[in-house]
Amino acid sequence: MNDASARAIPVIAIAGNPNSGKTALFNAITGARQHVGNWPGVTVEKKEGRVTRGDRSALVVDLPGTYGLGSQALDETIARDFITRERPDIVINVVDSTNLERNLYLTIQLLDMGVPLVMALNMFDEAEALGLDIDVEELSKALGAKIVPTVAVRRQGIGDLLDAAFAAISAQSTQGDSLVQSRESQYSVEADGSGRLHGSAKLHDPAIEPRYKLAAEIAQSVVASASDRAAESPSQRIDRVVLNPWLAYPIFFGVVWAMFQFTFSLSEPVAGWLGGAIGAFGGWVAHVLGATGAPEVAVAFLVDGIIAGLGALLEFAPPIFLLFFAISFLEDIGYMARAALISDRLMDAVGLHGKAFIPMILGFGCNVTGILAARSLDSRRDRLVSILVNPLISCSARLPVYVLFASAFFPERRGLVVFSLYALGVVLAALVAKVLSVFIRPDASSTFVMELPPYRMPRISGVLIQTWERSREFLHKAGTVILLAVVVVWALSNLPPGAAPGSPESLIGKIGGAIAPLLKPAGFGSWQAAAALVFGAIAKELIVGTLGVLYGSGVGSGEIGLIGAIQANWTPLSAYAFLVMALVYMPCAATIATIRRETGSRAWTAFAVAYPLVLGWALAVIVYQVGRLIGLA
Amino acid sequence: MIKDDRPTSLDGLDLGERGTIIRVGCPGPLRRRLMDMGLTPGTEVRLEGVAPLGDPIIVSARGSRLGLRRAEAASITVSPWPDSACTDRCRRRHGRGWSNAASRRMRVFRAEVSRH
Repeated sequence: MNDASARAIPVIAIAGNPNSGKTALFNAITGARQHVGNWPGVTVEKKEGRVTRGDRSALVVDLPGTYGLGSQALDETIARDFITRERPDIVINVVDSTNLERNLYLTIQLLDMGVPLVMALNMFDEAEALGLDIDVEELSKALGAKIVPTVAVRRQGIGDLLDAAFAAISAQSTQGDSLVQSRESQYSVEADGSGRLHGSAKLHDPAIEPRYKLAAEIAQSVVASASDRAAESPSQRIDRVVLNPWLAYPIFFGVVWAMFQFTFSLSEPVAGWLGGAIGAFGGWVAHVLGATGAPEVAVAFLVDGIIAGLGALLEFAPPIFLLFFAISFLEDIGYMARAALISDRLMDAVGLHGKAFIPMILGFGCNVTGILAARSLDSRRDRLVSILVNPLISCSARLPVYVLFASAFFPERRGLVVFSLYALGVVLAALVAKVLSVFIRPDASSTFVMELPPYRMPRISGVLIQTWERSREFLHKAGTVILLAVVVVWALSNLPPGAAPGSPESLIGKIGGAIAPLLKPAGFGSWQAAAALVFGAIAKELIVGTLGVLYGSGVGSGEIGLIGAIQANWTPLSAYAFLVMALVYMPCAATIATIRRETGSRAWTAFAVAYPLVLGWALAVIVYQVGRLIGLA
Repeated sequence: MIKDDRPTSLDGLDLGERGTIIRVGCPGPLRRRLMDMGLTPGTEVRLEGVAPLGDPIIVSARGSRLGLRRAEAASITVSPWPDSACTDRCRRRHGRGWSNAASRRMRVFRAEVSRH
């Protein structure tokens, strides 16, 4: 297809083990000039960027981090297919200098595939600090490939690496495959007596052992270690505390608590300030347009519809950004792998992989991000179950609903009420996961095996880049939906023309009135409650906004008035039943869209919408009816 | 002391004990993954630790540390190195009781006794 000679601009592919600093190197090469998309047909992230060095430029593609290239695992298939079909002009193989043996295994596979290769001997400073003396010259001779020591997080060696890559691209167009051949002559006999290893690009099982043997031989011959290998590494010492039977869980919950403290205590003032600024801006626009004599409906649409919608979106951004920052930081520092390890046993009890706890935790921020994070799971079943139960985890958009009702009815026990709903969500997610994992058959890759990378202090710039990419993806996806939704709510409550806005005669009133009887057994059979739930299905925080509009206090203003209206229309019991319903009843529109995309299945998407509706309704009815039986009101 | 270097499963190693992988006996994709991560026959492994609830276990091999479930580790056969397990002092530090190595020695001892 895209053969090397036919391309206008050369392609550099970056390949390497997970935790080899591949992403840091990609960031160091491309800087901000990168683009995140998906590999065709699958939901694995594909990062691309541009690099210019002198008068030459190239397209840089970050391949998924893999240990090998021969298996049928999704990541490896993607990397292998890109290399064999798209034929990049050069592959930069990122290698962790502190662990040559394991990393060289992939290098040898790449060379066996006949790939033109330049090696980035990354984390070179760490290797030196560990007392490892790597003979770069000797290694280069053994592999027959150009090698450049780098420290990607400090951008050291990046220039040399790019020079080497561009030089190799030029050399290739004149010399052909000489690089690969020079190596074959050196090692073919030692590697495999039959010579099978080098004869073809086949990556069969039998070749694993000789390749590793070769990797170990090369590593031993080029690395002189000054320090005692048996000595405990700093990471091992840290893990003695972090994975200690008594301390592991307190530390785990402490980290999660700190993460949420960081996210919400920092974002609250910013979000409030943004909300105020947007409100003031809306008022200013209304004032200016009012003076020009623009039609009243148009002004109202602009101010209460579009500007209020933008406001809702902007208030969303700070907590999402901070949560992603915290997650990226914990990932980069190496704690996430430990957290997966200690939660594996718990997750296994509900039929899930330890890594599935990351989508769950993220779900507390936003279910869309939680569902996107399920991509990191290898097993199709684990992914599906994680995606389907994620909406039961109470996302931050539901918090305003809880706070509003808890303030109205349980002002002294606000925290307890909110906590009970979060806990209910977790319990339901566990139960549903357990049930689903019984019915969905496990596939072969439902295994745990994962590496515990050494602890490393991350570079804040790298964390920020990752945070920005994830936030942007979220805001892009959820943003359009939320904005659209606010406009639709406004339109429905102001149509048909002639009906008083937000009255039972408006469209919103009619929709609510049609559904209300169904909700009567749960104690909140008013058309306002029904309409709020309908719009809450578009985005959960719209429940508050809709109630605000319907009880006549307008979007974003007069919370005191709204609390009064709610106290007049609900009882504490029906309010709690309503909150249970609001927690469970349906994923929001952005989440549904994400589920559709990530599962690739209409049937599962329909299921993800239907089962919470039934479950939420049933639970709300149970809460209300049982509560009345035992004499609560 | 009775020496026992008879093959055992990877999760049957004692804390801190070393061994050499003899066989990776699990089916297809998992076997491939384990071997791609460096757990090939002939590789030296060490049981580094155990997660707080007893599962998964942590092993080190080829300079990296891997977490794997006992169920997965059970399919890997290793030949333990004699006397490479934790000393009593280090066992106490990890808070573990009767060791796998000790119980293996006990089994061998009983087998010896019953044979005579």
